[in-house]
Amino acid sequence: MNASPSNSLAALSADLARAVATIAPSVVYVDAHPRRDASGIVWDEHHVVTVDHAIEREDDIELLLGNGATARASVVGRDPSTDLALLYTTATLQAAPRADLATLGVGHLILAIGRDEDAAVAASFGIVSSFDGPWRTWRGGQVDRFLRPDCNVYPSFSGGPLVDATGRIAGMNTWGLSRRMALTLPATTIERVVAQLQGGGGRIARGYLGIAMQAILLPEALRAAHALTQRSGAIVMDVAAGGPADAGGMQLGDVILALGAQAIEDSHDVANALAATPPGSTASVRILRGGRPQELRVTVGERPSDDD
Amino acid sequence: MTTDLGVAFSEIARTLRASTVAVHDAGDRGAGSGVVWDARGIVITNAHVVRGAYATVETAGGRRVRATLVGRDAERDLAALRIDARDAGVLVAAGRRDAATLVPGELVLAVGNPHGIPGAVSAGLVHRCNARWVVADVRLAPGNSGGPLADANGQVVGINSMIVRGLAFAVPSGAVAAFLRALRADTRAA
Repeated sequence: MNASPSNSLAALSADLARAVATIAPSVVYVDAHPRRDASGIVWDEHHVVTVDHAIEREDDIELLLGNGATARASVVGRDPSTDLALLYTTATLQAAPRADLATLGVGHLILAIGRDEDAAVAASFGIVSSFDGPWRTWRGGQVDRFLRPDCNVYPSFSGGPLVDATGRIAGMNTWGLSRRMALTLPATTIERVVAQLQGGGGRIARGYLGIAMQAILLPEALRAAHALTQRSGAIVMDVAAGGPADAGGMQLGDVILALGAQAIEDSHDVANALAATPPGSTASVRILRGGRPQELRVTVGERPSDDD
Repeated sequence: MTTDLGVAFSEIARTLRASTVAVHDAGDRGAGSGVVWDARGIVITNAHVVRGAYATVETAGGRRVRATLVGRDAERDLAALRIDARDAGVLVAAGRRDAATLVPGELVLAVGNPHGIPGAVSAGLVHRCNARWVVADVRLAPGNSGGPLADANGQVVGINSMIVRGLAFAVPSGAVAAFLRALRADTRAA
């Protein structure tokens, strides 16, 4: 780097390089999937956040650190709805500084950072393209700001940080929340999900019904007869004896149309609705039985840990 | 963006353009780019841009002059051309910086003739640099081959050579210097 920048562009260049140097020790390469490269952000001394879609192994995860060292990590918790996974390692890491999102806006200069499988840090820069209000991901996750960066987010940058011009974290970049573009999970949302994952004994307790389902198209006549806007529902293929659904009176062949306020078109919708339903609470389940709508009250159980 | 920054950007782009040439292979299959390495008429480009013993160079001033191949290293994808400095008009040699001193995150600029657009500039950040490549997040297109990758002061740090998964790969300036040293040694020996 030039010791004395001779123009404002050189000064900007020096600032950008400094921002990368600031964040670099807190960006790791995460090897938890045979085909998907990902980066991770050091969240505190022993925790790393990364993208859930790049996790295949929950144990024996290898991290490549900024200083060239490697560390073993395991999954503390996962939240597919926001594509976030929290990892734990016994190695002592350097946590990343956080940006104040209140001062971030459209047009601000940002950098996306990642670490490659050869442990080299990599960066691209651009501007904040969108910075809007709360939104819900396609898997039902609640995100407090819609943050979209306009810069190159290479595949291995998924799980890596989006930082401001001084190298402080604005959020985590991911290709897992949209099929069309890379988005950034804001730091404030990461904070909330991490607290949930840690508070729930290392995971977000997910509701459980004890059924197996598959999507089924609803015949036009049925949709018209009951004024249904959805094109499909989830037909119950199996009911675990003595499970929550069984206790609530659910039967083989029932077609689930809604769980609480959430319309159900396939089994993923059920999983997402359950992710947001605390065990022990009672949910109303709208079903079709013998072609007629019916309402069941089911006390949601907690997913047994071996049923992942 | 401050006006100052915009001005600095355009000034550096102008400086860099003054030392960038278009290189037409004898077959004239389209133009690559080149860098004026010294004011006496040495132009550096990629080996894959020049296949034959001669090429045509179009200077920043718009003059088209005949160029003779003086050396080629296909393995390093470098070629040196000589043009007659009197025919070419004013030749401005590019400033150089050893790419080994680059750090990740530094701003770099590429100038060339992507898709035949003369003097087009793109900018991005350095990813990494080793003895073989400077890798940068800079948008390149085929006509950028042989053109300069420069730092924020307009000092050339590499010769743009290829695009891999959207990333720019440039031959580091140090490798160009080594190539020219080897060439001079060969010439003396012969």
